[in-house]
Amino acid sequence: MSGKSYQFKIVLLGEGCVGKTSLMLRYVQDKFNDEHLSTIQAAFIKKKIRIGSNSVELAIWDTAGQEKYHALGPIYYRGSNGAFLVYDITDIDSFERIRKWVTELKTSLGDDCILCIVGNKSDLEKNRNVPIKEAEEYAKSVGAKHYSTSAKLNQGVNELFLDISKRMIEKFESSENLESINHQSGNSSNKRNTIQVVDDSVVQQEDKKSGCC
Amino acid sequence: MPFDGQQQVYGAQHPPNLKIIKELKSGSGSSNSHSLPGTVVKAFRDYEKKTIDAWDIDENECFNLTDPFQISITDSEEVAKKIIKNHKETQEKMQSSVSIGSKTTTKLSPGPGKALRQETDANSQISNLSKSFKITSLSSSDVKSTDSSYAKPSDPKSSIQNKKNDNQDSNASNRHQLYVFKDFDQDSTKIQKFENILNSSPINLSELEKLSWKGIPNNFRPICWKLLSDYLPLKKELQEKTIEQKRNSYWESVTECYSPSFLDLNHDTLRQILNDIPRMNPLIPIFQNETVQNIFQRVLYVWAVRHPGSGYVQGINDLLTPFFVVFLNDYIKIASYTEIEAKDIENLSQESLHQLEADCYWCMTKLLDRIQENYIFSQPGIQKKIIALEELMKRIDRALYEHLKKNNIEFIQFAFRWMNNLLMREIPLNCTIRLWDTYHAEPFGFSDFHLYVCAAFLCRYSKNLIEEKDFQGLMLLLQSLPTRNLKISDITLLTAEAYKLQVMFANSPSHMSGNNL
Repeated sequence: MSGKSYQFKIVLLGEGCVGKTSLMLRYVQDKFNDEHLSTIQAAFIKKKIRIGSNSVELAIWDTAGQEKYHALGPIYYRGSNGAFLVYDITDIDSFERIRKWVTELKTSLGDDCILCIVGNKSDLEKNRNVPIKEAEEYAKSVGAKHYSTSAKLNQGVNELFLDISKRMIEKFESSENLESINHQSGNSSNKRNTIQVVDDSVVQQEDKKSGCC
Repeated sequence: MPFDGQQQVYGAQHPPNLKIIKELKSGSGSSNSHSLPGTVVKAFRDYEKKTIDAWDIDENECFNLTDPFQISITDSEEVAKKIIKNHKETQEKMQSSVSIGSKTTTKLSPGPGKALRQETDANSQISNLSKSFKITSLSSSDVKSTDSSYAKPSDPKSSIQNKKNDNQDSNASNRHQLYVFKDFDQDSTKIQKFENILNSSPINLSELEKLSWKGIPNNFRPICWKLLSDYLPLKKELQEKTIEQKRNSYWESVTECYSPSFLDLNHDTLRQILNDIPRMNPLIPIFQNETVQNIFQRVLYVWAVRHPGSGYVQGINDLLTPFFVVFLNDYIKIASYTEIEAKDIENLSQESLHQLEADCYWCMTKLLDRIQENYIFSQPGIQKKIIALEELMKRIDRALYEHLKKNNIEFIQFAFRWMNNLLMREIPLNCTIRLWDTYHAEPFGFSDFHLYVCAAFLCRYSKNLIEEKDFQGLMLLLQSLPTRNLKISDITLLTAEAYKLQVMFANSPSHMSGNNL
């Protein structure tokens, strides 16, 4: 098992302004800025980490939160190995939005995708509106794990990414994941294939049909 | 700043994209080129009509302009070959003269900015200059060699290199001094032209469009945008009254939309806007100013309430910023759009702020009316344009298109933002403002023409992109293309390239029509 290379795709979903981009930037660049731009559509970033003797490359898609962009979701979560469903602990509406995403991901990806429900802005504990117990129970009920983070104070962020990486490796290795079996049957250095772009190409072909000439 | 005399225009150096012509020929499959001349001729006629003043028949050995029906693909390919040949022969000479050519065109920036005219721009403009000012240092061979520089392969690096050389050359050259003066002269001619048009009543809209296409001097920009947006009436005598009515009507809407019953209904919209406003343009200090943020909040919220079909969509807030900084120029002197200080705003009278805000609202509304499809449910306008962009790229830069496809890049993954925010997130604000001069002046500038600008924009980075060998590298580059140092002159080139593409493809029957989408 030692010395393997993995490549996984993670998607961040959740209501606007809950801190998706901040979580990503905190993790990847260890930076925090109250005033970054709102994300339009989605942003892509990558990060390489080592877990034990394994190297893991994370391809992270940070998506736009506004409900209007909800329809774009599949472009980014398709083929994801892991998903962060982020809410703001001071904002109950943002937690409700998580439920929609969970339902949608379950329908689209089945159990292929590891779900993490993330209550961000734990630095604003005094303004908490989402009871932690309720959030944890909900997470459990949908087979997800719950995390508390503060991108601002850099609390729980590394742990979050590390934990999901470990779980993705476990899942990959446990061969429960059909796609993993397919990929593994190739060879052990099938780095590229772990980013599951298989679905994408199907869609591209559909697109082509609609093209002109 | 725009119209900075030190900036180069790419027009004089940029080659015609021969690939386009070839693609056009081969890409149409069995129909081959026989179906094309008609289209091309029609497109060419449109083009020629718009750009007639850029042509100098004496200098045109290759195109017979008196009879546009003779223009065909074969001809243009022949021309291209000639140019290449010419280029090879005169490459030596060009070293010394190209800088002058490009220098000159910066100020003379192309006619209603357009496409092929860019190609002849340098030579015709230079010849005009040499005639009118009797500049003996420019011989006809200089002119030719400038022209021939178009045939150079489209290589961003080499053009950058050229520009560097140009700077060195021209700085050391007396001729440069001469041209700086001429540039200035030309610029004041441009200002004069704007003054003439704006002082007439009713204002000749098509003349104004033609002139604005190439970029509007900062001081005229507020009034020109208002006229081109169809906000300010062309008849002088109607202007004051209309504007007053419009401003009042906006403020009535504000009162209405902020009434408890409306607020209750639109709670989510306001919340979203309040979320986004502090996150706009964090690099430009005035957008952190409370007065400014309140203005934005009201404009966006009122717009959203009054346009329930689309409502507020993230990104629309970006589209308000150019209007705001441009119209500020009516009240305060602005040296640079990105360096306005908060105290400048605080010093404005309440009345000025009210006027400014209403003007921003109406002009943004006019803009959004033109691209409404982009923001209604499922954003079909954007989806269509992304598919069209993909088709276009297949034809104009096959290598890049295939490279992207091979690496599983989907156009929607990067181009969505280009369409949703009109490239504002990709290029500096002053470049956006210059781009909008053209968009305001071009029919369907913000909608159809933007597609061609996106295509030209993508082509511009083709070489950088081809160098990236995997999905991740490509995606990272695509979402932060090296645009930080883009200049106004780059936008002039971009619009000219886009116009060329529009002329070539917009009328192509098998292309871009709604049926295909």
